[in-house]
Amino acid sequence: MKQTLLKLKDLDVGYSEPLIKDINLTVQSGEVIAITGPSGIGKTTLLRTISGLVRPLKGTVELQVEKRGGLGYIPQKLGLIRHASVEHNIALGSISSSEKMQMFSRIRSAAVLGFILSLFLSFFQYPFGGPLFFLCGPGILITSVLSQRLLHQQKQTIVWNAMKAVRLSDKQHEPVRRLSGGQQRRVATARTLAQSPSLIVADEFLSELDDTNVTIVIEAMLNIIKSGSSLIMVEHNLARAKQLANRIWTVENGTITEEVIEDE
Amino acid sequence: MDDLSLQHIRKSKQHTLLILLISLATFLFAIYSMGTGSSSNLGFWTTVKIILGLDEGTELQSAIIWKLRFPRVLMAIVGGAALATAGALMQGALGNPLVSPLTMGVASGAALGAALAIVVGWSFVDNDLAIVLNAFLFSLLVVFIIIQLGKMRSISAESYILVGIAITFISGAIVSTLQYFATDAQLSALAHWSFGSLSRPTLENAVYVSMSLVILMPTALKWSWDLNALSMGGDEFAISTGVDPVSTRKNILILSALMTSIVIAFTGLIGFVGLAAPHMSRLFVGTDFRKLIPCSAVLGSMLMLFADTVGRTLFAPIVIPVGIMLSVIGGPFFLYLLLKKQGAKL
Repeated sequence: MKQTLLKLKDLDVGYSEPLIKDINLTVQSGEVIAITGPSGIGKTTLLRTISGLVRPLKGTVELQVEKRGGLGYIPQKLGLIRHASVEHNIALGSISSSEKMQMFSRIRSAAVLGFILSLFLSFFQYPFGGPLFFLCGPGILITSVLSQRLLHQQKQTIVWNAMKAVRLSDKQHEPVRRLSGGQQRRVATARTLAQSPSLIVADEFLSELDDTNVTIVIEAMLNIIKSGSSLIMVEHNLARAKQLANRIWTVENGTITEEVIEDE
Repeated sequence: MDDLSLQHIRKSKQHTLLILLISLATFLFAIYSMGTGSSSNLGFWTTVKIILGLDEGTELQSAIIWKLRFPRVLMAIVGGAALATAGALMQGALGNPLVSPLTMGVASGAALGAALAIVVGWSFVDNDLAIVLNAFLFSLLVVFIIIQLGKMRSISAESYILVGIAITFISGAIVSTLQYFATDAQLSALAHWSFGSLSRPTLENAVYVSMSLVILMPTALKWSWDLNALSMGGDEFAISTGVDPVSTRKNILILSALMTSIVIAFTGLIGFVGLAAPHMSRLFVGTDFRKLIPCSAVLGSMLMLFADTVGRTLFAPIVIPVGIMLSVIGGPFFLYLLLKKQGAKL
């Protein structure tokens, strides 16, 4: 079942003056969108607006993804920590949690609420404050320790899988600054894959890559798209855009036109 | 493993050791502090024996230790830790070294609540907790307003700071107006409240504050990765690592406001520790929030405990409020650290 992940409604993007006007577009799960158009026309600004880095001048951006890690953003300049290892860079930031983790966090939240309630109850000398206090206090500690352990294990597996997906397992401890440009782009891709985002927004992430690196990155991306994620990317190479994307958004004269690519 | 990773691991271990050492020093100093005061000065070991129950001591000695000094010492430790952590969180989330709970409206909200309770007699409850509850609820209210207005203006960190400053001025003006119409007794009560003192909280209060901190502290640590991402490369970097800067910033502001208001509702305004302890910690353990938060907490405890102990022993039997002592002792020490490490980036 396809799900709408992104809805752009009457959107104007730009800084003080609009660069692109009246955008009305949607993105469904499992879709690949390629944005094309000349430089300086507002493609990056559109991506930054979708990511929440720039406020829309008019209209709305409705994102139907989880708050933590639901949106994966690969900026043009990658934003890697150059002196840190590949593993460290991939592990940075939020990594989405499994159902088990969410269960733990729910139990902990309930315990915390109970604890606060017990504080109030005992403060104003109502009954049940004391017993609730002794029930919830240790509850918070135990769930915290258990979920911390689980999270650590899970994090290591996720990072390892992401490194394997972009074929960088042998560079695990290598500082990013010692890698080639293409390999660095693969690290940035792996960092996004590790978050298993529902929507990936990538700014020119295939440009300046040699064929080997392009193949590796595309393969890794297509795998996550098969599982229902969507990708919006800026792509200058029209042939490649047509090959990869379901739809192409062409930015021209301050407006966007959409072209649907038929499956061959 | 390459040199850089090894170096990082070695440094990280050193930092953990340093944090443990400061914690141990704080613990030992707490025992010393419980034996020292304007009356009934006890030696370190005598204090330890009385605390452990090995030596009963006289009734007066044990009453002074347990009823007077223990709540005070406990409040200094947990209060210092909470304020310093809140300061570190705010500075990280807003990427500004000048931000502290005092500049972000929490304190001005608390002062407004206290002034309303003292001068107008307007409060949520009608007992000894009137001022405490008013201070607590108003500081949260003011932070809520700041967050809402900040969001309306733009999504950047600066908008929160600017709105925070504006709201601080507005509530400051209301407090001044109330002071203008207050009687002498009310004025004196309000001034006393704003000094920030550890003699007010009872044992029960101190235990409640400690329990709240036990809950909130792990949440602060849980967000240390997100804070690292936010402070390392700004919003774009944060988003590329899966951290939503807007909601993270909002959550962290709420958490630090909660931590601060719980403490200052009981103690009155204590400002310096929230600004200085995170900066001092940064000089010791660097900018990694996984180490910076615990280090700020223990350093905050140590600072507060030291200032309070000096405040009540230096001119005994006169007790100088901890809020004043902190700035008197902490200020020059902070300056010394800053100037010694000149050129180091805060």
